[in-house]
Amino acid sequence: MSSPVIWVLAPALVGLVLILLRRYSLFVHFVGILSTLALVYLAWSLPFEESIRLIQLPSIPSIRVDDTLTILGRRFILDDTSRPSLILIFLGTSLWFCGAYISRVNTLFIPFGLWIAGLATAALAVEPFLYAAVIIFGVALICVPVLNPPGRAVNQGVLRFLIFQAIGMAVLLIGGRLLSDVELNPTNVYLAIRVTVLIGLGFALITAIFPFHTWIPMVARDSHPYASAYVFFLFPAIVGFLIVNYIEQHRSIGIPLNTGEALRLLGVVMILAGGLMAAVERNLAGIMGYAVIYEIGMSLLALSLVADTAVITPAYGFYFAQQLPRLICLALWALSLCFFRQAGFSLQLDEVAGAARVIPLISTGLVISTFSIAGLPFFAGFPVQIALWSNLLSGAPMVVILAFLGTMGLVVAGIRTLVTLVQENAEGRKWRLTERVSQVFFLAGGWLMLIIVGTLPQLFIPILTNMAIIHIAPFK
Amino acid sequence: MVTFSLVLLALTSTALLAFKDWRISILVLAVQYLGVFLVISQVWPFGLAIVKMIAGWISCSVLAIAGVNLFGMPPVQDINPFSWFKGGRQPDASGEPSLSLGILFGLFAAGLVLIISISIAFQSSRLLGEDYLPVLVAGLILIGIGLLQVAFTSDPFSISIGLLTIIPGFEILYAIFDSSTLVAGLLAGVNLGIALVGAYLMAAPLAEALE
Repeated sequence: MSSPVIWVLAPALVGLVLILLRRYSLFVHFVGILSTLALVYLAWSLPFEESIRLIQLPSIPSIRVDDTLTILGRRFILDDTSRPSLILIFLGTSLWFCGAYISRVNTLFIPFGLWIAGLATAALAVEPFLYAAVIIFGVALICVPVLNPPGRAVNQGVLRFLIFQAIGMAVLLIGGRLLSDVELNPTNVYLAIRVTVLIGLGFALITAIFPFHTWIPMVARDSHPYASAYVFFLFPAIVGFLIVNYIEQHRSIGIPLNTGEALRLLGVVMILAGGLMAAVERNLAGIMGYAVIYEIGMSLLALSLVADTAVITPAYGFYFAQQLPRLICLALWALSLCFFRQAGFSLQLDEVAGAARVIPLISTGLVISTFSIAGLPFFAGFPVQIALWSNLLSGAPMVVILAFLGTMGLVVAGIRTLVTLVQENAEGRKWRLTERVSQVFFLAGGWLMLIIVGTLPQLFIPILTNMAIIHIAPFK
Repeated sequence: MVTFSLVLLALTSTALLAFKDWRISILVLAVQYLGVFLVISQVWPFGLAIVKMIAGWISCSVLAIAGVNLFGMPPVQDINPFSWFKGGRQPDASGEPSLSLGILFGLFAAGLVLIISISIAFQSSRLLGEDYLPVLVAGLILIGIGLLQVAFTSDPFSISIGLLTIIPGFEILYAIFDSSTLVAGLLAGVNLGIALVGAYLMAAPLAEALE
C-alpha cells in the first residue's frame, strides 16, 4: 500500500462505482461527501512509512503506507509535506459536494469531481515536474462533461478552455523537458531564458492568465454555476501549487530576476480586467466569472512576493491563506446563483429588478460574496487582502493603486447588483421570504463562515501559514 | 522519404482546413497520422514511432464511430467534399460546387503558415542541427495549420480535428528532445482523450439530460 493509491487511485475507483450507480442521486452524493471527508481525515492523521495496525488482533497483520509509488520508472510521491495540499484539495471537494444535491447540479458532478480531485493530487505528486502537464490536461478533459453535461448545447467557453489547456500542456511538456537541459548546464543563460518563456507561456495558458482568460466568463454564463465554480476554484489552486513547487525546485539554478515583476504585472492586468469588466457585466453569473479572473490576479500578486525574494515562508502563507476565503466565497456565490435560478429568475441583470423583495436571503448571498471577494471589511477576503496590500505597498506602490482600481470595479459590480435587486419594479413586489428551509440552512452557513473568517482571522491564518511551512519544507 | 512525408503533412493539414465533411476529414486525418509516423520514425525507433500512428488511428475510429452514430452513413456516391468547403456555398441548381472568398482566405492563410514554418525551422535548425530541419518544418506546419483550424471554427468536431493536428505537431517537436516510452504512452492517451471528448461534445446536445 502506498499513499498515491489512497489519494489518487481510491477516489478514481469510488468515482467509477458512483458513475454506475448514478441513478441513485442521493446515495451518490452521500458516498461522495463521506469518501472525501475520509480522505481528509487520512491526510490529517495517517502515518507514512510506519507499520500501523488497523484492528488490534494478533491474527490481523499490520500495514505500512509507503509515500512513493513507482510507475514505469516515474515516481508519485505523497509524503508528510503533501498533507497541506491533500487537505485543501479534498476538504474543498467535500465542502463542494455538500451543496451539490441542493444546487441540483448533474449527478455526474460527484464521480467526475472525485476523478478531478484524484488527478489533481497525481499532478502534484508526480516527478519529474513535466509529467504534471499531461495529468493537468487529463483533469481538463474530465472537466468538459462537468461543465457541459449531457443534454446541454455545446458551450463555446468549454471549447476554448479545451483548446487553451491542450496547447498549454504541449508547451509545458516541451518547456519541462528543456528545463532538465538547463539543470545540467545552468550557465547557458540563452537556453534558460527561452525555457522560462516557454514555461511561463504554458502556465499562462492553463491558468487562464491574460490574454487566455476569455473562456472563464463564457463558461460562467453558460454552464451550471455550481459546477463551473468548482472548476474555477480547483483548477487555478492546483496550478498555483505547481507554480510554487516549480519556483522552489528551480530556485537553486536561478529564477530570472524579473519573474516577480512579470507576475506582478500579469496580476495587476488580471485584477484590472476582472474588476472593470465585472463592473459593466450584465449577467450575474458573468460577474462571478470576472471575479474569478480578479482572484487569479490576486494569487499572482501573492506568488510575485515569493518569486523575487529568497525563501520567505510568510510570502507562501499569503497564497495558502487566500484559498479558504476563496473557497467559501465561490461556494456561496455559486449556491446563491443556483437558488436564484431555482426561484424562477433569469440571471440577466436587466430582468431581475426587485428580485430581493421575493428572495431576500438568496440576493444577500449574491451581494456579500461579491463584496467578500473584493475584500471589504468584516468579510472573509479582507484579512488576507489587507496583509497583501501592506506587503506590496513598500516595494510596488503603483501595483497597489492599479489593483485598487480593479477592486473598485468589483465593488461597483456588487453595488449595481444590490441596487438592481432591491429596486421597486413595475410589478410592485412586496417584501417577503420565499426561500426554502434547506436553502436558508446552506445560505446561513455560508454567511456565517464568511463573517467568522473575516472577523476572526487569527483562527485560520496561522493554520494556513503552518500548511505553507510544511509544504515548502523539502525545498529549504 | 522525408520530403514525401513533409509534402503529405502539408497537403493533409491544408485539406483538413478546407474540408468540412466529417467522413473526408477523418480519412485525411488518418493519412496525416501516417505522415506523423513517417516523420517521427526519422528520430525515434520504428517500434516507438508506430505507437503514434496506432493511437492516431484509434482516435480517428472514435470520431468515426461518433459520426456514424450521430449522422448515419449515406451512400458513398452522395459524398461531395467540394460542396462542404468551409465558408463555401452549397452547390447551385446544376450541382456545380462553388468556391468563395472564405476558402481562398483559408488557403492563403495556410500558405502563409507554410512559409512562416519553414522560416522558423531554418532559424531553429541552427541551434538543433541541420539534420532536424525536416522534422522541425513538419512539426511547425501541423501546429500552425492546427491553430488556424481551431481559430476558424466553433463546432466540436472541427475543433477536435484541429487539436488532433496541433498535438501531433508538438509530438514531432518533442520527439527531437526525448524518446521516453512513458511520454509516448501519455501522449497517445492525450490523443485518445481529445477524440473521446470531441465525440462526447458532438453527442452531448442530443443525449438525454441527466439533471
